Amino acid sequence: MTNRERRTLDRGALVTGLVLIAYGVMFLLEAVGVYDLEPGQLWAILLIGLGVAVLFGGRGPDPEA
Amino acid sequence: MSDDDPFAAPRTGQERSRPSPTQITLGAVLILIGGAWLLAVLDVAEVPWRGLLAAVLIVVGLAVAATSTGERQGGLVAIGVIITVLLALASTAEGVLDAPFAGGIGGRDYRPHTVTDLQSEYRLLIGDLDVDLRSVAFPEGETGVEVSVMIGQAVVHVPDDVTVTVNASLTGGEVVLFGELQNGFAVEATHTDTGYAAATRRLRLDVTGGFGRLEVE
Repeated sequence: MTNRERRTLDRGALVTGLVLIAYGVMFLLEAVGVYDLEPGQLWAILLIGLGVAVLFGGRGPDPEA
Repeated sequence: MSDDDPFAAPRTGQERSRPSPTQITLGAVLILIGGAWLLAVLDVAEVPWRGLLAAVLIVVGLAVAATSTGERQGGLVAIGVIITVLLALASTAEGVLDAPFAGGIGGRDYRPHTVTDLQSEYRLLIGDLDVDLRSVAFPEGETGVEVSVMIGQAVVHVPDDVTVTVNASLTGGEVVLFGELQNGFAVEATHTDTGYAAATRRLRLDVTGGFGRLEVE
């Protein structure tokens, strides 16, 4: 098995990336006027995304362990 | 080879020169934002900053997710968090203040001479906005124009030969509509010329602002 194949999946980076993509899509849709987010809704969604990143963001198990 | 290993063999020239995903993404983002800024400064194009930043955020998110099997890219995550906070603050400011988060920064003078020159919207984020409509020969019917400044001053000059109705709203500051002053917070002011509904040429102005001064004369 090569070093490349033994790389650990960084679940934190994956989840953070997906959350950032979701935020980007949300802000893009708001910028083009598809919908209008209230400030309260916006910060609640940001908080939920942060929670998701924290909850599922730990590094995955090391396959060599 | 690990970055943390002090006994690791020195990197070859090729390894040292290869940019990391963070460097590639950061470089692309800086070029994109700098290019857009240049276009705005040169008045070549009006840049939709929020849309642009949202697109950049998606790119950063893709880069972070794509590097999840490699080395940690803390720089990319930091960039993504900063852009998210900026976009959230912009969106919140637009919701709290009465003006849209649009337009540039600085002084803007608009002097349309014909109806074709006339824009339906004149926006400024921060600064002084002066819109002089006195040279425009308005067509029959109703023409609508929206003017907004987030922070600063907006002055709109209207011609005498058109009947006007104005709706003005300002989060904080003063509004002067044809010499009538209102000031304070959450200022809502309106003015409608006598016989507006029956007039041949009508101009409907919507003037909004965050903090500062709005004037129609």
